[in-house]
Amino acid sequence: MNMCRLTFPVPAVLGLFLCTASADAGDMVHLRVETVLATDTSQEFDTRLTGMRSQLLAFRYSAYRLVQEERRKVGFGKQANFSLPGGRFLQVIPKEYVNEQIALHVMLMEGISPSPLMSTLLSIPNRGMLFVGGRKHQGGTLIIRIGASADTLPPTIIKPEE
Amino acid sequence: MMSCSHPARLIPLVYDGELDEARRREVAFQIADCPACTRRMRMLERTHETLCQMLGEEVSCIDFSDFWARIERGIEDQSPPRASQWSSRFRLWRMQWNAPFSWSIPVWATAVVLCLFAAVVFTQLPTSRETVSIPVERKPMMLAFNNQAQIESLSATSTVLVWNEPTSNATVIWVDDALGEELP
Repeated sequence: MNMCRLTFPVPAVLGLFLCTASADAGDMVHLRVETVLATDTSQEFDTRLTGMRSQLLAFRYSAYRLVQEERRKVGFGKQANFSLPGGRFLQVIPKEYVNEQIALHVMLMEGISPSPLMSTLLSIPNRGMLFVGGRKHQGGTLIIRIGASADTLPPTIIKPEE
Repeated sequence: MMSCSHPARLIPLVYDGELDEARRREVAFQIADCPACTRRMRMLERTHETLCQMLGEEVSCIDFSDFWARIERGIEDQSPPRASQWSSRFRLWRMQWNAPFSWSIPVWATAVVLCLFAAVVFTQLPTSRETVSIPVERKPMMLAFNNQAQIESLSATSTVLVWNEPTSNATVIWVDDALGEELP
């Protein structure tokens, strides 16, 4: 077989693959939405919430249970819709990534014909998080943790000031 | 000098037994009747005898008592490949890969550039497969000590409270229709 015939396809396919990989790595945001039901009916603490125990204990509830967890990978400018307990919807749109901050448009909707209950445009650090809570559900209160991470750049470790 | 019309090339064939029986007999009669052919045959016989004698003397002088021992020593003392052998191997290898080497310089340059680009891209990608498929949210204290959000705009149809959670300084947006006197 004449190996010279492979000279064009091999670099072309390789280049296409690299370009695709580069675009995928640079333009995507990983979203993680965890919905916790906080109540005062017991002292139960869901073991799946161990990672955010210290944060949840800042709220004045006695029991915490993870009712839903969902992860999405979405591009900038693209919306990610999450269905929440109680017929609620959470819409998250990553807007941009600047100075290791991810700008997010977060909208909480509820109702039979969903209407925006809360809408905010904010920026959180890469791999940071945001809590949205307060909605009543099954005798408790929903606390939603929204995490976002963009793998475009290596995370910068910010040490606490002594 | 005596000469004959018989073909001289047949005499060695007769001597070596290379002719069939009928031909050999015919030529043998010619040799017997021809003095020149007879002399050639005699010379051939003497040459053969002399050669066998010399070879026998040479062989008898050779000591075969340690023949196999010397072969074993020779195998054990086999020296590493010399430079000429390495060059021969390289030439064989190059001939085997002759087709790829025939690629033009621009193609090789493109391949090298793409490999460098791939190295740069993949060094920036997460190394763990788990990290690619499912982003592992690390402990906020390690990566981003201050999770505080910078809010540009906020609108709501209900009462909204905003504060920072004290552990990781994460921002909390509390949306509650019937917010009591006691904060959550």
